[in-house]
Amino acid sequence: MLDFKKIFYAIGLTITLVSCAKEKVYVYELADVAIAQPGIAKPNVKTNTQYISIAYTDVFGSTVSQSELSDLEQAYLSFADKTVIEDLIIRNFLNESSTNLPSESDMLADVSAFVTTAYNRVYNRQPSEYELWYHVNEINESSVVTPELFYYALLTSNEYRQY
Amino acid sequence: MERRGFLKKAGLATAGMMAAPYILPSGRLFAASGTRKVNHVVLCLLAGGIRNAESVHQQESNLMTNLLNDTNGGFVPQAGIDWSLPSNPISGGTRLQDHGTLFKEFRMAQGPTGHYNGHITALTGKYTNASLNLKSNPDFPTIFEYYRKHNDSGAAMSALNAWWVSDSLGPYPALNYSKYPGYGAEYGANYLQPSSLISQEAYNAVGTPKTFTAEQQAFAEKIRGFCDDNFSNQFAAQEVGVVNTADEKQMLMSFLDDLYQDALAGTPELNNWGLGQYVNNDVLNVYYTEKVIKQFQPELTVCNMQAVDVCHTNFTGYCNNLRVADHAVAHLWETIQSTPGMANDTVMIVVPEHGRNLDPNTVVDLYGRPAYDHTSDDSSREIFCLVAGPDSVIKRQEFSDVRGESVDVVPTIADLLGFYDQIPAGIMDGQPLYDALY
Repeated sequence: MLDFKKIFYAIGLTITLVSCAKEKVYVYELADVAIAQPGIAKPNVKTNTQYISIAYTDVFGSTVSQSELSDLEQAYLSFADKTVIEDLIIRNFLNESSTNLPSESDMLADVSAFVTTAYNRVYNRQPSEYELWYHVNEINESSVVTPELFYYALLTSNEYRQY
Repeated sequence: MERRGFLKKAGLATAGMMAAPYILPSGRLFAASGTRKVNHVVLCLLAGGIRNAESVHQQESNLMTNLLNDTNGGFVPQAGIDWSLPSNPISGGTRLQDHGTLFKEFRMAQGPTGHYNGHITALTGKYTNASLNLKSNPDFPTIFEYYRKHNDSGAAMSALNAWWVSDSLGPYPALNYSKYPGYGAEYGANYLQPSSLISQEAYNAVGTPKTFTAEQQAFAEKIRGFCDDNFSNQFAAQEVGVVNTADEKQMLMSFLDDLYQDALAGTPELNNWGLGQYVNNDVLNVYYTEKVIKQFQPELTVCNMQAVDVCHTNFTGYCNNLRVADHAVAHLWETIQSTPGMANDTVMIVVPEHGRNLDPNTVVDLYGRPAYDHTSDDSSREIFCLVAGPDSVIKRQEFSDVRGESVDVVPTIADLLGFYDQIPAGIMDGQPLYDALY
């Protein structure tokens, strides 16, 4: 005859042991993903403040201070042709010793990576294959190009004025 | 088809074929037919609010001894207004009034007598009830847009030929072009606000740019051109502001650099004016307007002054600033007469944007003189207008009766520069001041 009492205790012991098993701990991590604007569609014009503060961050890798932003805006508002003032502001930035741009040796070591990084940083998107080919070719063939010069060209282009 | 009908239609068709090549994109049949009376106009907006009592009526004696002839014994020193200015800058000992027509009873006849409304009226030829809006361009085209769009001289489309020099920011940068359909930034003026741009703060921001060699510049332009070509269909240049050509931009950058170098050297030319402690924003504005004139000889220049607005709280300061402005405008006239290309080929128009109230407010200055606001009473609508220029173009005379309004200034400039007939009818409220013109 089955000993139902033993069976009952055995099942209870099993359930207890299973219940006491250590819980699995799941640790979630984020894989690095490049966030870039899809395509080239940028229908909106940046405001003065947006243009200045974004350009500052792109060149120096830090946020512009409120007082410096105020000085830059004053210059911006005081002249009608914004492209003239933007050109001067960008070249003033590039004349600072504290810029956070790749070195010339970095650029020449891997031109393709330099161009891709510049596009991600300035245009917030990947260069197309044609763009990448064109710029790599131009940089490789130029005897005067510097990282500052290439960034200057992108930072004063029409695409950079919009988002 | 009857013979008569055939002939009629054939005739019309032939006339249409003959006329078609001459129909312009604007819809007009012929190109601009107006004749230029001069090739340059300088409008001095002696703004800030000036009462006729202290200007042409000379109730505080003649405070404008460089512009106006004496009618009440000349300048008489008074408490707080007893300092002397250097001698009359106009050569030959003449006064500006001697070189043109003085309308002693001009009017800003409609709209609130506020600075914003007064400036819009003077720059558009259109009265307005618009409320102050720091980010809004005028509703109707400005004189700069009329000039750049309708003038048919070879260089007219260059923004270097149209300058708006203003002594303050706020809403004034927005007055160089309108939001009127068919006009806008494409036809706007080059705007300069000297006291902000030629400052230590602005110098820190734009005064020491990295320089590139010509070869490097060419490389950058090639890269930028490639990028712009890829983006051309999305770029809205007019939303960025007035745009000059690439060559003009280089000239402007060089010009700005010259201004900074001049400022770093202590503005030696300005020191020669001898104004010492009385150099204010009006003087700086005229000084930099003269720099623009010497560099570019623009066909249309508007110089704005506003220091007399201290009259809200300081009547004595208002009188002194009026004397300084008078001196500065005379200096500008003399500079024009010594600038090749502009001498004897320029008309200068001097006009306040509005007047000030007849009755004072409650503020009394250190010398016991009450202050005055400008709140649209009859006195605040009373102004003067002085039109000076070559004696073959501008009559030498004075009108003491009421004639002419501030909306007439823009049509007068358009007539002088030969494009008044090209402006679509009905946009402006005024008409040219033919009383002053031959």
